[in-house]
Amino acid sequence: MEKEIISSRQFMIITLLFSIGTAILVIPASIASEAKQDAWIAAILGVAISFLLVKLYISLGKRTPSLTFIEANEKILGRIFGKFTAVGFIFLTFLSSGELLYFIGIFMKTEVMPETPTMAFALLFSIIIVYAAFLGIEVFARSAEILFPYFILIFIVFAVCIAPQISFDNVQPILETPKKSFLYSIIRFMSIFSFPLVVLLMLFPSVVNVQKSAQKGFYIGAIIGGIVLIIIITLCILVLGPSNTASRTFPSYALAQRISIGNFLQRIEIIMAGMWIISIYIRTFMYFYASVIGIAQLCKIQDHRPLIFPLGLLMIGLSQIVHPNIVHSNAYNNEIWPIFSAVFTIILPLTLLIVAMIRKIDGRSQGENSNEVQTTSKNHAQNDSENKSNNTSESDNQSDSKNEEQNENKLELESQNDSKPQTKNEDDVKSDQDKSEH
Amino acid sequence: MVMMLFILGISSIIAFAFIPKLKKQKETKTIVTFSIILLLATALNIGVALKLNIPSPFDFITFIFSPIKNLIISLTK
Repeated sequence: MEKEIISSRQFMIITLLFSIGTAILVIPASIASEAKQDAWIAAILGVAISFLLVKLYISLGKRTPSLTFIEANEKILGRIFGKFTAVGFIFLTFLSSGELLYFIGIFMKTEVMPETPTMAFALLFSIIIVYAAFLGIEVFARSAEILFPYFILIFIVFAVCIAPQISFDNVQPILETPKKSFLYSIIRFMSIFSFPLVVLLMLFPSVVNVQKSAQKGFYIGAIIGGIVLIIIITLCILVLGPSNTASRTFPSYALAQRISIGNFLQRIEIIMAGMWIISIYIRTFMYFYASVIGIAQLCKIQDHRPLIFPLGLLMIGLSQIVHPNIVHSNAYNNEIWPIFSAVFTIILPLTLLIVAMIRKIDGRSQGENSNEVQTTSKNHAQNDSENKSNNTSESDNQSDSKNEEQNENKLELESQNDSKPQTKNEDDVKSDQDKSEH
Repeated sequence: MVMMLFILGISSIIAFAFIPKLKKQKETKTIVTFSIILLLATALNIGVALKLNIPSPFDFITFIFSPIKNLIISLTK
């Protein structure tokens, strides 16, 4: 099975839509129940702290540039411990994917079609997820790229249409909440927005083809996702008011129901729901894909395709038993999920980073001829690459900053033979059609 | 009853679609993993169809993490 590669722009779009996820529906309620009218301040602080978290994930990803997160677990922590933590991580992602299927079923049943059983929505949605997993990550990345402009368009129309109903009284008095509830609301916000970003480490170093712009894409995707969430939370507080936001299950849907322009543009909330279906699709797919690839890499199976159908069936069954009712779901998401996910998304990557630093597992200096070849090829790269590439900064030895079309094949091989990146740089720069040595 | 037969039918279709090809390629690890997960999925779905009271895995996780949650709440009081 050949290696699949996505571009860094597709990775940025996936990060953006993944971090928005289900948060765009439920976050205003859970964050406003603690922080009341200061929920927007809690959101801004949460996005700022998430920046540090993304930095942690990127530095972990840089250490193992050609391995996914599951393989990196085994490599850094050793065979037994690594397998143990990998099993825990797969547990987390698979349960979350089942929970998200339950979530789409509950949302549709509560707001849109109350008499349909939730199993019907779970079945339809999982057919899409299983088919997408079968087609692979490249097709999925392209579909995310196609769905992204619709998402942005609907979001802008939404924000503009609801803006006439803002009343600034709802946000006063400012900064009145006690610090403890502030802390709780920031942790709840981050647990849905940024803790799950570790799942993107399954994609980040090994499947994206240009390293530097992939890192930038990770940052930019997370930050723009955070900005979208901040805007939604602020609009909810401004239009609905804090107590109204906190008492609803889907406050942004209530927001969409209030859109009424000139008594003519009304009842368009289902178009807004399209926006949420897109982001939930991206998130559920990423969780499911991470579980499938994780199990395949854990058991050292080369082709992950046969595992997709049984895992899809298991996910459908799981979505029906995972929460008996919405009260159980709210209690779980507000109290247990931040702790459970923090174990696998903060403590585990921190441990991996520290152990990788101690064991000196570094993606840059693998191979014999690291130092000399780097200096000579840096001179060559600076002389010749002005003609051929857009960026000429070469600070990271493992990254290429040339055009993507030229280097797709070469980077495939580079990421697999990480030992000699700089000799290939010399060859590339001198004669870019010379592929005989590869 | 009908749902149970339906689920068994779907599972056997999936099994018949994949196992002969895998047997020819002699990948025993894949066959074992595939079969375990398929059996688990079939059992779970039959349980859901018969409306049995299956405990949720999140109850198990809540049970594990409740002491930590109480600790954190008492620390920040």
